[in-house]
Amino acid sequence: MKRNSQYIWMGLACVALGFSACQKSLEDGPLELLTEEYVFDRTDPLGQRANAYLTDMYSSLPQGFNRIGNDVLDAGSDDGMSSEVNSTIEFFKTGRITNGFNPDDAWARQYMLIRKANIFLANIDVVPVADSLNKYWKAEARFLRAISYFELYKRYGGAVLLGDRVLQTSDNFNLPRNAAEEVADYIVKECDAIKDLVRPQLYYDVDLGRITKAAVLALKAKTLLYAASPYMNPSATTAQWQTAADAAEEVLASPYHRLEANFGNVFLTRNSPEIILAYQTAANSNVERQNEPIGYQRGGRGITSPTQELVDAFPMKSGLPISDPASGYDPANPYKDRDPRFYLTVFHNGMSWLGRPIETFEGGRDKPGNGIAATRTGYYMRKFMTSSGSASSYSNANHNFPIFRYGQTMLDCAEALNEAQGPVARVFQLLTDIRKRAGIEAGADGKYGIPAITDKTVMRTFIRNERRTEMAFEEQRFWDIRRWKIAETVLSGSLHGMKITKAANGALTYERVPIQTVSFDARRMYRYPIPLLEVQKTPALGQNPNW
Amino acid sequence: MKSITLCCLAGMGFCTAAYAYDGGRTDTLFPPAGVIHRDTADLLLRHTATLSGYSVSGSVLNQAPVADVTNSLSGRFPGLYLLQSTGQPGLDAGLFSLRGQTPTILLNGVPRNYTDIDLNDIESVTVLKDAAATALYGARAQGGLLLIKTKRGLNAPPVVSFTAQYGVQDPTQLPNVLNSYDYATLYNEALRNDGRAPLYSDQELEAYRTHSDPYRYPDVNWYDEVLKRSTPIARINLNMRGGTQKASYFASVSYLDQAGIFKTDGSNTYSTNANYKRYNLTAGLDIQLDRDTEVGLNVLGNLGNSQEPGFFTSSTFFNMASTPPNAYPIFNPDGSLGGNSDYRNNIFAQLNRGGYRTNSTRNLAVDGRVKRYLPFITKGLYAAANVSFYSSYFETVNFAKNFPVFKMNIDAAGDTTYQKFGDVSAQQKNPDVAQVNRQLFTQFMLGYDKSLGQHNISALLLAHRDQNTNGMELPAEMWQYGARGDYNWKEQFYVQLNAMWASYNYLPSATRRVFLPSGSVAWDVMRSGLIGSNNIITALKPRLAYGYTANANAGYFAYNQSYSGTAGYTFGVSPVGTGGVAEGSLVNPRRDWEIGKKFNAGIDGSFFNGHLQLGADYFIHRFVDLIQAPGRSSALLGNTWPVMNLGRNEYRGFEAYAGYRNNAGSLHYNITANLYSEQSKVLFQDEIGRPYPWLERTGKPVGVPFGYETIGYMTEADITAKAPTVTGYTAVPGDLKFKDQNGDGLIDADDQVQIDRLKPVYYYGMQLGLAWKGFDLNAVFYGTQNRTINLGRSSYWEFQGLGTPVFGHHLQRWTPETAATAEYPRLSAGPNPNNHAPSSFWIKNADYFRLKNLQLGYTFQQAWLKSVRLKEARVFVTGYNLLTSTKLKDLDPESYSLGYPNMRVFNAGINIKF
Repeated sequence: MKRNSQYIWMGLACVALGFSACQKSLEDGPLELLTEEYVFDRTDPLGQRANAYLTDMYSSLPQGFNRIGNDVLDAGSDDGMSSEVNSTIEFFKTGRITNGFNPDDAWARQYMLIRKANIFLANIDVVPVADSLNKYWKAEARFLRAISYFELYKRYGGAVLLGDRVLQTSDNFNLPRNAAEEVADYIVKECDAIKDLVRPQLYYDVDLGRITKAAVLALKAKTLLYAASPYMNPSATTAQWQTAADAAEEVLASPYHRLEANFGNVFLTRNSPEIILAYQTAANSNVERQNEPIGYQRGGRGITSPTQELVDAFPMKSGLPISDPASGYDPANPYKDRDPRFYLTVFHNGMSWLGRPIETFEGGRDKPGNGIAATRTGYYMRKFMTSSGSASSYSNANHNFPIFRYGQTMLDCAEALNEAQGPVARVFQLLTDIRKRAGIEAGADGKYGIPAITDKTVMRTFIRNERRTEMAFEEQRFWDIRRWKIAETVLSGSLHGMKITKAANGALTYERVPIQTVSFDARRMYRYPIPLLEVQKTPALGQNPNW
Repeated sequence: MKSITLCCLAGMGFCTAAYAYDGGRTDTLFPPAGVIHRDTADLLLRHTATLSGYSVSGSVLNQAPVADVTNSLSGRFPGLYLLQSTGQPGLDAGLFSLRGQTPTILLNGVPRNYTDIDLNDIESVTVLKDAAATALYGARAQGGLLLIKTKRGLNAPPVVSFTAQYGVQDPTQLPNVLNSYDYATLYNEALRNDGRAPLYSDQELEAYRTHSDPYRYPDVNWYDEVLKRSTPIARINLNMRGGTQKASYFASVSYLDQAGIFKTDGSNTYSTNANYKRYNLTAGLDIQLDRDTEVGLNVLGNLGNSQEPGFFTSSTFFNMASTPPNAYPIFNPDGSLGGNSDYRNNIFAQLNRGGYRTNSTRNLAVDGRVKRYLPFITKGLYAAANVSFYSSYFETVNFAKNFPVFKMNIDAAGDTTYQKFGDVSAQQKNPDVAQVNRQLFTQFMLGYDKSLGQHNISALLLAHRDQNTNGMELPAEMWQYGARGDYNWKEQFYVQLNAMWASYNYLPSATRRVFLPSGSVAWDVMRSGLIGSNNIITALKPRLAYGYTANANAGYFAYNQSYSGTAGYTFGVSPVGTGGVAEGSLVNPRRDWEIGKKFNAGIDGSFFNGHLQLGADYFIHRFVDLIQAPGRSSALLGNTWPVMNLGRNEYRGFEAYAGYRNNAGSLHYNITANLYSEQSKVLFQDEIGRPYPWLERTGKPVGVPFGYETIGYMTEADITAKAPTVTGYTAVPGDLKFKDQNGDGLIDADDQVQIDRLKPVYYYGMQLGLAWKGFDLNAVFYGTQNRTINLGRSSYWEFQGLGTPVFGHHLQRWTPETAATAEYPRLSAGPNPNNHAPSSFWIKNADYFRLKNLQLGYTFQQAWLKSVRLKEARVFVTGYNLLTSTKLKDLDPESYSLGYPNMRVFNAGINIKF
């Protein structure tokens, strides 16, 4: 009996050990992980995951709206400022950008997209999708790669062109940057190569947002415009400007795009004929939430304060600038009868919004004082917003950020053409079309307030002002003042706002007051610094001047 | 008091693991001596001759009136630093650091991070430090081990013990918030400093000063409005312990009720105050089945239910620390809640109108063990097996709701209107299972103990498997197996050798296994007869240990390169979100173990017949193959670089302790002190190309912050001389002045130097015990020397975000008048790129000396008790965090981030045994 119990115990012990030793978990490693073979599936004729991979790449297209901290990029230009003092967007105007901190740094971000595109191009041919689809997809990936280089080009000038290489960790990373011209050249060549490989137009509604031929041509035109601009090319030849103009004309010739009839609808319509390429999002109310005046129950944050400089740039309804004695501009009633685009770009005091007038006078509901974050200039940003929704809740609307739109290319074209040939008839025609659509009155002479300019320089100033008003907060002005090398001029001294005082009898007095002291270091700030850590890791990159 | 056995564990530090055992009644004759189970003592004794460790019994730890076990450990163990950073009920566990690393907790021999145990149920807590001492769990012992053993039965008549205690908690320190007048005055000053127009007119300042219009010019001290002065904590424990030779048992039930500090207005049918209620059940059973067979069972379980305001306890404190006193009144004149566009979350309403949340935790640990001697093979041979199951479950239910706030406007005509922000919402009811874990731990041992004349041998073959499953993840499976051999010659020379292997399934198969050898030796000088028996030296034992430990920093199968789903993009005229897929971060397919190479030398001595105990340890811990990103991780790769086993760090330090105990007449007294210091150094880091040597991390303490070196305040003369400032910044007098390390006239990334831990930090603890007749007094002090904290954080700065409140330390700001004595730079209205840059200015000395625990007790005489059939009765008062001395102004040195404050506790209780 005693012996038996010993064997029982030993047996139990062995069972315990065996049990614990032999039980194996079901999987040796996580099987839910997607591998390259799943993504680039040799057996999927629909290429579902490869399509998803391409879809993901689209999400890295350039975005807009309140993307720097909570601010719009143009709050770093002379068009606006953040309502919050000391927010990082101010760094662009106070010289506080350093090689260690740049709120709009895109170096690593763009190389991530370039890698994605190169992996796609290297692997997509194993996926047995239809040839036509394979052709579109590859061209789309190349476009996304090209626009990545454009994002690098406009920020840093030169960048490392990787071609089709997918870098491995064992590779040599100490690579020198290609010159800015080479980068521009590469983008243009890529655009030329793929313009007939992408969809010439969108055949199906579900494809809205995909790259079309017009988008490729628009990227090419934009690149050539930048390449001819003083910032990239101080000694641009007439021929270069002409090339840029021609490229823009090629976009404008697209049968699928034209100006939207109503200026406000450009930013609220998904499939507007004006939009050549936009960053597509689901309907949302982010723009309203971030930028709406603060006094409404639904709780806008009023984060963008447009400047008086921008407000003054808008002409009157007649098209005449406010400086023109004939314009009828009344400093005591400054918002009366202005360019209709003004009312779609800026919230001003007294403008009706959600059932009440906006109060940006001192102590008003939208500028209450006592330290509550509110507009610093007496204005809020109105652009892109829908007026639907109630005072207490938001309703979602389409807010696709325009990357390329027809009106933009028209102004690109006008600018390049004026530089190449001076104020020729085509320039006037483009400007007239823009102003007509804006809702400016034709006037007795039918010229929409456009003066009879004969001088290229005067026309240049006029076009630049037109760009400023037409494309405020569309991330154009921020780059334009760099491209034209005027940032050191327009970002010098003070930016202004309007101090509005309401008397007890309700009378309003308007006073232009300096709000923000700005400066721009022309020695270096026209180009972004290459991030310090990158230069330290791979010194061959070199640094931009004076950083 | 008779037949008292004092069992000093040689090599275990001062005689803390002592047990007095008197016919079933246990006594604490010599505080801090407590009760330790014989089995524990034996087990420790057999294998601990050479190890570096320290043990404290549960009854000693139980002197602390704290909810969480961790907080009772402060000051008790040399080398163990404990930081309690919050007093939030249910979440107030302290953070350990043992020789600079986090130790693994072994609860009853099983690695599990479970400390929700009642202090009454703890038998002992032991800290093991060197590689040989921790060898059996070497792949988990990179940071050493903290062993918690719960009580089991005794071969003694049953004793039922009932303890009830009740305490009052109050915050050790609340922020010194300035009032609205000071706020507005300083804000105007800050604006002027920034070259901007002041915001508050003289009229408004006057209104703040006189409080003439508390609605339009409010002055709310949220800490006064929202927090109570004190709040209770109660603990009840009932346990029974006893047994016979054949079977012994321990069973215990406990209840803890720790209330939060919020003041609620009682307008709800439910409480919105924070609180934590814990119910514990602990049971231990040992049965001697026959002469050679022992089986045992332990059950530990608890329910933890906590509650907090619907807007969270943490965010309530965050809002209190970031809302200026003049932001809004709590109520408007019409009784509605105050607020405005910036402040939609009225703090009072968050607490009283925002609903609540419940969190509940369920833990259950069941351990079964069997040990069988195998004398029919050979005497001294035994086999043992353990199976442990542990399950933990955490869920939270959200019963929060929203409320509107109103801003009062008085227009020019004098009419009052209200502007509404936010809306009432229905109370939510969202359950959310946050965490589910389960663990299966199995262990098999084959051991052999034998004495052959002068040779004493002990050998152990061991294998255990630790399988942990987190939610939906595949189980993590760690195997450790190998052998341990102990040998001593005449109890003079001790040698221990360990050969252990470990394997972890989350690592790639090529690197999955690791070999962790270790060994230690010790020499008992007095037994060797080298020094003759004398009155001075009672015992002296030097020891050495060296060996490897490891850490599987494996992530979740992080060696697998994968693609993963992304949010994708929205195509289409009718927007359709289409999911995307993208390459995941690049991985290292040969991800390997991180290895610790630990050297330890120590000596323990006992003098004057054991009245004085001294000991010291010196250690060098090298950690190699540490996972880190390679230095040349260029962004051109276009993806996150894979981590590699590259880093090498070193920690060196020493620990020392001294204890003295004696009697003076009927007064028994003892005093123990410990001291610890450690310095770390990066031996290798894959540095990126650093242009200057001071930028290099190699050679500096591990993880030390870098920043600018402050060399005073900017003066007019500095500004005239164009003293360098942070890029793009125009200095004004009173700004911080930084040293331009490379002399290029710019303060930039090239000028950042090591700004902290320039001196070694010393940690010391002190325990004092007195016993006189029925009275006993015990105290634990804890302190640091050269400890620093980095206050370069927005909660410490002025006017951050929408305008954080200003605190007492802002009054010490630089002004032209106070330039010589200023303790804070000139004020700025918002973030200041120069002054708020990381710099040595914000590294502040945070030394403290704290009376951690104090207990005063009286045990009633037995004769008197017999008439009421009690074995023992005792009353006691205890305290926690009673006194603090620190150079840090207005901040608790342990909890300084303006979250839930640490608590001071005054507590009283009774204990009855029958």
